[in-house]
Formats: sequence, C-alpha cells, structure tokens
Amino acid sequence: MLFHFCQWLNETRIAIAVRESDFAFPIIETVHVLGITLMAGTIAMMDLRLLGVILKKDRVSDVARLILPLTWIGFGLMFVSGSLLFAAEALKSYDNPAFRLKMLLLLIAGANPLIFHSTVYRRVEDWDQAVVTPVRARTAALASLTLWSLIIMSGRAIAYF
Amino acid sequence: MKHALVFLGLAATILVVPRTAEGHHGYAAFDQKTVVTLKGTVTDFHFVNPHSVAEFDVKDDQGQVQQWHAEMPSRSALSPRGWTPNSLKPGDELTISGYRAKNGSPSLWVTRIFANGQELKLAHEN
Repeated sequence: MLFHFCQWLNETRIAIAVRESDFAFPIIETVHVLGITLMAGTIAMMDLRLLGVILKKDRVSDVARLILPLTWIGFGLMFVSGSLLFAAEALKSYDNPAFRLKMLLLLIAGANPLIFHSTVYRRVEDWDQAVVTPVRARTAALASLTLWSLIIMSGRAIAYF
Repeated sequence: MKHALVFLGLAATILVVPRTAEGHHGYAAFDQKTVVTLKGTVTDFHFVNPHSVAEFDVKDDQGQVQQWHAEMPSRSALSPRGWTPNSLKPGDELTISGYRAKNGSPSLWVTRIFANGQELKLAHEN
C-alpha cells in the first residue's frame, strides 16, 4: 500500500514538475535546509533551557512563548519543502534505508513533545524558574537534541544510498 | 493508549514493509576505482533532478539482452552544458563509461558518454 502510494505520488503533476524543472529542485532543497536551521535551532534553544545550560534566569514558559512561533514557522517551511522533495523522489525514497530511518526518527521526535506537554509541562508553574528542571523535562530535552541531530544526519545520508 | 497503538503501527509499517529490488543509488554506491565501458542502445532517458538517468540495453555474445541503468548529474547541472530532454532518444547507439554499482546490479555512474559517436559533455572541461 505504501509502495502504491509512492508510485502514485511519483507520477503526480507536481512531482514531475519539481523533477523536471532546472531551478525548482535546488531552490526547494535550499528552503528545506533553511527551514531545518530555524526549526532545529529554536528547538535546541528550548532544550538547552530545559537542561539549564542557557537562559537560566528566564522562565521556561517565557522562553517557550518567545521561541515556539519561530519553531512552527521553521516546521512549516521544512514540511512543505520536504513534502515536495519527497514527491519528486517518492519511488527512490521508498527504497532508501536512510529515508526510512529518518521517517521513523521523525515519528519519535514528534511523539516526544506530545508526551512532554501532556505530562511534566502541565505543572510548569511549579518549576518555571528552576535552573535544574524535573528529570522528565531534562530527559525530553536530551531526547529531542539527540533525535533532531540523528534526523539531520539521516536526511543528509539519503543522498548516499 | 490509542495514540501509542497508532504510533507503533506506523513505526512497524516503516520498518517492516519490504523494499523493492530496483536500485537507485547515491555516488558512494559505485566503485570509483574501476571504470567499465559498455556499448548499448538507449531505451529511455529521464532528464530530471537530482540525478538524470539513461536506461539502455546491452547485448552480449550470445545475443542475450541485459537492461542497464546509468546515473548522471542532475538536470540543473546538465542544462547549462547544453543537454535537453532529447539529448538521448530511444534507439540511440550508446558508448558509456563509468563506475559500476558495488552491489553488482547492472547500473553505473557515468563518467563519459557518446551517443551515435558524438560525445555528450558532462562537465565543462575534459
């Protein structure tokens, strides 16, 4: 079923247009990288605050409020450009082990903040000004940094398989 | 709980779904130490990003035909060098040199290519 989806996507008009344009593909690739820097960069700032490395005097909730909108803009750029690149290479991607690993890591990286926000972050008022945040918050931050690093590495590796 | 099940389902799907045998590869998948040269007939040409691909048939001494897959630079890289979607057409006689796939599949990364005796330049100088 996944294969048939990739087969269909690969031959859609938009996929063909991206593949067959001289400029679209490299421009979309560039937007994808810029989206990643904005998203992963702001996520790293949030994670480093949770780990008590930077912005120690700022409330966790203030940092989150300041940074999250930028993270979402980065996510939007990354998701739209990534979907277009995937469409253009849907059949190749289906066979690519690095791409599969990246998708799996993205699922886990997506689950991480869902768990974080529905558990320990619900009581953020209790530890908003703490330099040393609760273990579950630090665990989530460390997992996030690790996962996004691995996602970028596996994304880069797609070109080598 | 429901979320966890959906998640596990997706994760399992990604890992378990079998991959097809057909191979497209990055540059590192080719043995860059040895160059092979083949003569064949073009069956299809995909002038696309991020790699252009020529499909061609090679006939051996016994008359057996093997289908080959040749990867080349991107459309974006070849366009300024004068390449067009019609640079290679089905039926064109091809002489092609390149690095063979390490996994033994009939595919190669092209270093030089001649169609009907005429060299098609992959880079500005060579």
